[in-house]
Amino acid sequence: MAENDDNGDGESGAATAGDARDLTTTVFPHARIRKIIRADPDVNIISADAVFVVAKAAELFLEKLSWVAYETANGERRRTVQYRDLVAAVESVDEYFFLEDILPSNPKYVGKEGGGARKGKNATD
Amino acid sequence: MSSSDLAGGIDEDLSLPKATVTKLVNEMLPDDISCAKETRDLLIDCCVEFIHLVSSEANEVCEKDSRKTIGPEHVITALQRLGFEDYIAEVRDSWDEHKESQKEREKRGKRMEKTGMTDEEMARAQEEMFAQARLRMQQSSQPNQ
Repeated sequence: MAENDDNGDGESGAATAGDARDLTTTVFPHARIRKIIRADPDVNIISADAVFVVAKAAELFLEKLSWVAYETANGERRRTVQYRDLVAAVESVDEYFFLEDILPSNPKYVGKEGGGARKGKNATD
Repeated sequence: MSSSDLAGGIDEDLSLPKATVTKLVNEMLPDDISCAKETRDLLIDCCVEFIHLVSSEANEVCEKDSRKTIGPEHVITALQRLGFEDYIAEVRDSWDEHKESQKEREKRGKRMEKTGMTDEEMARAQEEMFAQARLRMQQSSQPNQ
């Protein structure tokens, strides 16, 4: 995984973007992350520091998932990362097993609905 | 606040800001690569699911620890248990830096309090300092005799 390791930190590719990253803050709004966490009725009170750590982990997760998906697209010489690249990522990385329900592996299932068991969201942006 | 979609139980507010996610993803990918909008939305869903996964696991760690409040160490243990050990180093560094910067902010705040000046007095003192600095600059821009 280190073939594009330009800065020698053991990470490949665009991880160099992380060099200048501000480690003291997260890009995700703190309150929003907390809301998502609290949406689970079984979850206890969570400290602000813990919310920060979750937010940071989520940032990393998003970056790594996009990167793995990109590697599939790149392998097929495509310039756009697509749904099936996410599916491939989920199938190739053990830790992503929990995403299998969100990304049905039926390749025909592409569209605004986006997810198996979940109600679809409109891309209002 | 968008409440139009509550019937299905999916609240817009329980998602992540699209612009933020787009920026994060674009910074990660090479310049000539783009991400389809639907794919980006799916990435958001995956990320939200990840948050649920980690907080749920952290919750269990917390309960085993006989604590009532989930703390950062519980989250870190959760990450390890879920197979995301490679996140831990950077997450820890981040947390350490975050704590440092908070301490700095508190120190600065306390220093301000220690001067014993009111906000008005401090503002006036600052104006004084600016005026003096301006004077010094004007004097230094004049040719020395």
